[in-house]
Formats: sequence, C-alpha cells, structure tokens
Amino acid sequence: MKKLELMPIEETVKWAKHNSWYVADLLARRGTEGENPLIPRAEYEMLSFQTTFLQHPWLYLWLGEKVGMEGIRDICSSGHREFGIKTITPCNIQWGAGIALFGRLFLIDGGLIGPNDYIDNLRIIYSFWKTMFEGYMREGKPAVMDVGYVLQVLDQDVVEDLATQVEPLDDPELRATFGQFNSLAQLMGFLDHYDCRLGLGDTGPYEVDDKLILVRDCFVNEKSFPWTFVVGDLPFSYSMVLTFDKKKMMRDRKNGKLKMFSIYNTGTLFCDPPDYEDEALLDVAVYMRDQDYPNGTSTRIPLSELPEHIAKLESAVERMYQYLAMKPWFDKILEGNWVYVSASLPYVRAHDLEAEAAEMGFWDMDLRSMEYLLKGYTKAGEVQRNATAGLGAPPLQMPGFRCRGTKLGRYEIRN
Amino acid sequence: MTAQGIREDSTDAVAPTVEAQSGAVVEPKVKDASEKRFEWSHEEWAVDVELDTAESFEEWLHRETKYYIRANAGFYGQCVIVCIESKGDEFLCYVDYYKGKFPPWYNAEELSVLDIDELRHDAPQVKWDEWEWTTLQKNDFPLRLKEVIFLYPPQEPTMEWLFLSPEESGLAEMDI
Repeated sequence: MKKLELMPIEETVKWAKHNSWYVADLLARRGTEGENPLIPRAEYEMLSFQTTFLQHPWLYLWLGEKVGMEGIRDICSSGHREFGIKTITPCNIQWGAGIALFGRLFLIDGGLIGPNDYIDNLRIIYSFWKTMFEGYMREGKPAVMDVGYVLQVLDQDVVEDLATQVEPLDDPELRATFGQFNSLAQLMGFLDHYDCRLGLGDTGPYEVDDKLILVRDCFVNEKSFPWTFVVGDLPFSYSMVLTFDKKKMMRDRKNGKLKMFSIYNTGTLFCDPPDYEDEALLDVAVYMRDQDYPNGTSTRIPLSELPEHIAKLESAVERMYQYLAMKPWFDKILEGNWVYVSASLPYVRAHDLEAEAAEMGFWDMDLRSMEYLLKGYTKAGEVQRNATAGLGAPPLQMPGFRCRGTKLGRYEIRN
Repeated sequence: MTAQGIREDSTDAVAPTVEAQSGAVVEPKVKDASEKRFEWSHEEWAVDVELDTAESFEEWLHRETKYYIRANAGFYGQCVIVCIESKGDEFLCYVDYYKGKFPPWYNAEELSVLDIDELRHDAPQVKWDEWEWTTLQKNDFPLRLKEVIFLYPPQEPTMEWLFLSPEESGLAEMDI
C-alpha cells in the first residue's frame, strides 16, 4: 500500500531544532530589509500559516496514497533537468511545508493552542518535508546550511550545457541593460507573490571549469492566481543563467574581501559585501517559460531583445502596484493567504495532480484558520514578532523531559 | 570531508575526555546503535561527571562538545539534549548554546562588521534565561551529567573554500 510513512513523535524534536537553526539564520538577514506598506504581511502570514498547518496535512497524506514514498522523493526530479519551474525553486519546496510549521508557532504564540495540540499534523508535515528533501538537492540533505549554503539541484550535464549558451557582459551598456532586467524581473516575481520570496529562486553556485554558475528563476505570472489578468502579457517565468569568475572569488575569499556568498533555503543569494554579485559577474543567458511543469517549454531570449521585455515588466509592475493600492486591506489578507497556500502547488504539479487536488479541496478555506485569524487579528503584528523571535519551532513537551509550559521562553524584539 | 567548521578547533581529536571531580580522566563512551536512547539522533555519549555550577557546565561544553552548526549569523551547539541527575531526580532537558548573538537580531551595522571566521574562536554561551530550548536551569546545579545527545550530523560543505575560513579550508595556503 502506498502511503506517507510517519516519523516517531519524538523525532519531531530533531527537525524542530534543525528548523530553528536555519530559520534564525534567515531571519537575521531578512530583519534588515524594508516592508511594503501596501501589503498586510503580518495578517496574511497569520492566516496562511494557520491555514497550511491545519489544512495541508490531508494533502500530504493524500499525496502519499497517490504516489508513495518514492513518488514523494521524486517530486523534484523535474527540477534536476529543467529550470523556470517551481519544482526547482527552494522557496516553494521548502516553505510549502515549512510555513505550516510557522502556523503552529503563530497559534501557540497567539495563545490559541498548546505545543502538544495537533501533534499528528506536526508529524505529517515533517515526515512529508523530510522525504521530499531526500530527492531535492544533489546531496539529499534537508537544508542548504547542511552543505555550506550551496544549493545544487540541476544535474551537472544540464549546467554544463547552459554554460555554453551564455553571452559576455563586456559592453557596459549591455551590462546596464541586463542589470535593469535582472532587477525588474525579481521585483515582478516578488510582487506577483504578494511581496514574498515564493516568486523567486536561485540555485547554485554550480561549478563548470573556472566559473561558478547561478540559475535565477523569477515567477512573474503565476497563472493560478486570480490577478494573473493584471500581468497577463508576461510569461510564467523568466530565468537567468549567471556565470562568475571563480578565481577572483577565491582570491577575494582568501584576502578577506569576500566574507560570504550564500544561497539560503529561500533560494536567496546573500553576499558580503552586498554588491559583490555584480563585481564577479562575467556572462549571462536569459530564458522565459510559458507555463509551469508539467506543461510549457523554455525559450532563449537573446540579450539584444531584453529592452522589449524590460518595457513589458515596467508596465506590469506599474499595473500590479495600482491593483494592490486599490484592493481593500482585508481582501489582500485573503489573497496573501492563497499565495502561501500555492507554495504547495509544485508538490501536486510534479505528478500532474493539480486539477485533482483542486477537486479535493486544495483551494478551500479551513474554517478553523479563519476562526483563529479573527481571534488573533488585532495582535497579528505582535504575534508575528514574537513568533519569529521564537525561531520557528518550539519543542513538544514529552514524558521524561523537563518542560516549560506554553507561555515561557519567548523573546521580545527590541527595535 | 566532514566540515571542520563544525568543530571549535582544527585538531583531529575525536574521543572526548572528561575530568571527573576526583581529578581522574574518564573516557565518555560513544554509544553504539543498540544502546542509543533515540535511533534518530546523530550520536549519543554516556558520561559520568559531576558539575557544581553552571559555569563549570559551560566550560565542559566548550572543552568537550565541539560540534557546531556554522551559520552566517553564529555557531549553534548540536548537543541539544542532556540527561542529568539532580536533587534525587533524573530527567532529560534541552540545552541551547551558541556563539554570536542569539536570537541573531543584528541591525545592518552589526551585520556589516560580523566576521564569522573570527567568531569561531569564541567560547560558547548557554542561553540560560527563559527559553524553550534550554530547560536545564541554573538551580539544577550541582548535578551529575549522565548522557549527551547530539541531534544532527556535521555539515558537509560542497565548496569548502567558499564556506569555511581560509585557514580551515586550506585556501590560505593555496596559490590561485
């Protein structure tokens, strides 16, 4: 019988702590970024995290019945051969299940449940997430931190082929044009996903001879979102292949100029110094894809054609800002909810089960999460701050362990 | 290669040693698979050492448990669960210890001067104040430490030269 095999309850402690390490490290970087005043981030995160924690365990059990443990491990197999699709992007692969764990945290920090409530949800989510990650990165590890912030998903022969297709950026004007495209595509991916990183994803660095290579996907038009009509003239995704001067990077790492060049579990590149990416960038190639896997194909865009795509992106960004400005605040909480729910889309698209999952209730609201939102709504900002200070995952309270109760051990953020 | 970044020093020493209160050096035993309390843990030690104060426990952690997760915002100790005997009772508890700032809420200025390559030389601190991942308490001392449970295997960096300090990765000695 095909099924999701569940880990022992006590093993959730191991993954909860593991979770807290890399979430802490990620939030240390995210904490330095600004916020978009048009987006009710705290409120929609409260709702969507709760929705996925309460509702998505059925999805993971159902997928287990449909495809078994090997099928779960194979969810990302398309991402080993193709890019510009969501089964390659770490933010979706990680956070489809990962945000559900934050849901538990929000509910605990909001005083709405205790750490031992919904234990089976926790086991199901961790069991699914761990199994899926066994087939994601080349090394089969469950977090980028485990392999030193290098996220290699694509097979090496695919990367080597991409390395033959790049164009040099020696011309300063071309370099500036590419820089503009790179910024706009990332901004549009971010906006289309309600200001979260589900619309972006870097993998790499990969090594080919004396170059390091990143593959950057920007999902600028997720067609399952109702606001796809706002950005309808954009492809599903733009992708960029970026090559870097490995020897320069080694020299800079040796002399201390380069302190870090790290891909996080969100598929985000963080550098120190922050502008280092451009310093070491040599050549690029750009692609677009019309639909997500299992449909669609990738098309190469010659760099000479970038200006027309820049114009499209500028126009779409402007329309999306207008859309967000006109949308009532509470409607945006609901729409943000669906963005995070959609983080699990690659899990069903990988096996061409999106339509069947929708019939099963993929897009249905779990009324418990709405009830909890109403109870916690006025303190969403406070709960979000406290929950993220709790670093993602308080342990269960188990027999034989010294416990602390539900209300202790939280940290206040001091701005 | 197993990352040296998870070890405080770059020595090859593996076997932990414990100096008991009597002054005799006791070898903690690395449990084999059949003896482990949790089959999903990375490594478990049976130890037998009396520790009088929280400070002596931190010194013991620093000296003996050299596994760390090296992150960009700090180093996190992997010995998360310990078994202690204190005041006639025996129980498991969590211990969170780290190098750096914890939780790692750095502002932009602090991040810009944070040097992880240098931070690795610091001694770790236990997060003693109210914290869900530290359920050992200072008033549990004196205590007898009986077991140490490492949850997670060492990191295995794909590109050591990019992740570890130049001294640890060998980059410092390399001609480029």
